[in-house]
Amino acid sequence: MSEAAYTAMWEKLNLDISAHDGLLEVLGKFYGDIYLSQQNRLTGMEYLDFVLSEVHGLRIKELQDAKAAGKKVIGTFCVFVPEELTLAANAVHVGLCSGADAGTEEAEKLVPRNTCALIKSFIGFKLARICPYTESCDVVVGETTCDGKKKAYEAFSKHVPMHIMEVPQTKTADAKALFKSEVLRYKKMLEELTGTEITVENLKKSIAIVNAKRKALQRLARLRAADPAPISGRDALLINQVSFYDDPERFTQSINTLCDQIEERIAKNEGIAPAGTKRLLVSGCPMAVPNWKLPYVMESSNAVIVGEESCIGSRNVRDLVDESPDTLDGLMDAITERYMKIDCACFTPNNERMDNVERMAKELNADGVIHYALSFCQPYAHEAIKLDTVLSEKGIPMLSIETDYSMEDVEQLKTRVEAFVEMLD
Amino acid sequence: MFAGIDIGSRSIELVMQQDGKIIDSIRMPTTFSPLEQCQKILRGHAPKMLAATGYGRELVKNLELPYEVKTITEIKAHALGAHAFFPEARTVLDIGGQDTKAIALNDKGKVLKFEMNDRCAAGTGKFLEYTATVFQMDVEAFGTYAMEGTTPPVINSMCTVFAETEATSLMAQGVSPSDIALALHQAVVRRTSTMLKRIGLKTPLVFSGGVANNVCIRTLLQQELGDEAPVCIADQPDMCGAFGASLWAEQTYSA
Repeated sequence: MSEAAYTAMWEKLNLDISAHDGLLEVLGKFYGDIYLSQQNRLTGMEYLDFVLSEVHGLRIKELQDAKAAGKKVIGTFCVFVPEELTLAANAVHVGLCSGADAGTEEAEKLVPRNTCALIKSFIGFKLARICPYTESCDVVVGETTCDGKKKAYEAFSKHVPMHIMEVPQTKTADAKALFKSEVLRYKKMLEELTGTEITVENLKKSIAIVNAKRKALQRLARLRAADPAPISGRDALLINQVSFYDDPERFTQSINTLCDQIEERIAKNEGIAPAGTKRLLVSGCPMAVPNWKLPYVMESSNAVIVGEESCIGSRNVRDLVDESPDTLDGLMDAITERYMKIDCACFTPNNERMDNVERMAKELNADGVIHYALSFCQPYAHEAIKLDTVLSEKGIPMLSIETDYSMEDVEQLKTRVEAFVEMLD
Repeated sequence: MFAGIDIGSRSIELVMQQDGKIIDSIRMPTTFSPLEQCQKILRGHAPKMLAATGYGRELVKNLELPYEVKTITEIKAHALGAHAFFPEARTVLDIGGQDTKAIALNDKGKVLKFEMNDRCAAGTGKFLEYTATVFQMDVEAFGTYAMEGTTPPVINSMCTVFAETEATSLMAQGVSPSDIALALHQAVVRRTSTMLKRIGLKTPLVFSGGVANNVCIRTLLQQELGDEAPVCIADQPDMCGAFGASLWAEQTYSA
């Protein structure tokens, strides 16, 4: 598509064209500096480079085409929204922009200043009219995870049509029953919106599609246990980020192709960094596009990232939905069961997350863990303290970082991360 | 001979070292052209290798020097320097121009854990320098002056700007200036001891960095630790980072 046709599409979506041009310019430069500058990069990453270069172009065009053909677009902010149901209702499921400072002043009119950067970002993107995904959505699904998000949705719902799912805070039988009723309510909303009935047949098919996507990402995650590390953490993060808005079947296929390449690379004992480079697991808050700051700092400090214990990472990928039930109720139970395994810091006591981090650190042969919490994110800040105690008992070094999307602390972060890497010698 | 250079926010230190003995040590202000200052301080020296540390450590790589240049963080440099000065040390506290670091060491001087302030320079040398200007005196004299205080009020703000506001309003209430000066020093030590506790403070403690020259901070820190655990301070505490870097240069050169 021509530049002019894209601009016409963005105008039709009511984007602020000059602000949006500014965003794309910054994003392009940032991507060049952080991604395209990498040495020994896998050729299979060209697909991801292409997807990212067209993130506000071709993919948005696809969404408009889908809408013209009668499909609905559902936007989400969280891994608790069952993609399986969205796809079964013949709708498109996309994650929304929340990884850069945008429209902050406007956002601070709706939410308190001491709100995390992620929340301010999705509100800012909407108010500044620079996210074509948000503008393409028929419904945006929110969820009652942290206090910051659930209160922000009250204000946000005045600007976009929203459906809020209640996510419980514990994993008792009652809590699971509550979540199942919310899954059913989401199903009903989708059916009314799309006019498509969710059946055993279409649901089984969509479960298989989403499971295949998760399996491809699991395969990628496992391959990263190799030393030398076959793929950079930045690239692996990008893949996980793209998994939230690319077409799922096309995405699965290209990631499996990439994994074939990675296997060849491992067989040849080749990698993105020399064998013996210090290996780090990053754990904590999600890193949404284009929040690549900390991974870049880490991989510029004589280290390589071997895993992301995060919603944009293992938390979204680890568990599959059981495909065996043959009744609708059985499938709804399977979905509920799968989503209630998510070890989000919003749960209490959430001890399973401690075990999962420890297991990942061991399986991926990590030398240390860097815990990443967004400033003002209470749940993850609490768990950083808890995790530090657990990991130090197991002899796994951990560094706790609290930061946001701004660049002013990059030098201080570098010193801390470099000192942590030196400490691992 | 091996060299270590510590390029901090306020000053640059160079140490020339042979077999663990400091042959020469020089200090210069960082100014707004740190690269030129680095050139100046290095002029006439020909070490086998130079290790650079401090926030400007990457700068010296631009100088195209005729010897090998490597970098380490100030955490590692201070740990190595403190361990060499005081082999028994288990904790290092470094308060510099814009950073405070608390470092836990094992018996071989290896870093076990560390804490560092984030982007804000609250409670660092900068804080004392700024608040000293409220008293219209040099930061060098500020510590001695604060020692005259007897009944300090409690100053809660660690933010430099808020602390100045608090100090100004205390002055307006007629509190004696030396008491306020003492209170400001106490605020720094309070914040520092929180950091030390977080890394699991073990003695002996080495106090390094430019602020270790401040008699009031030294005295208050000693009171905090108790008399049984003397605070170790090198003759030139601000050279600790550069000295540590020079030792590391020697270690990696022969390795």
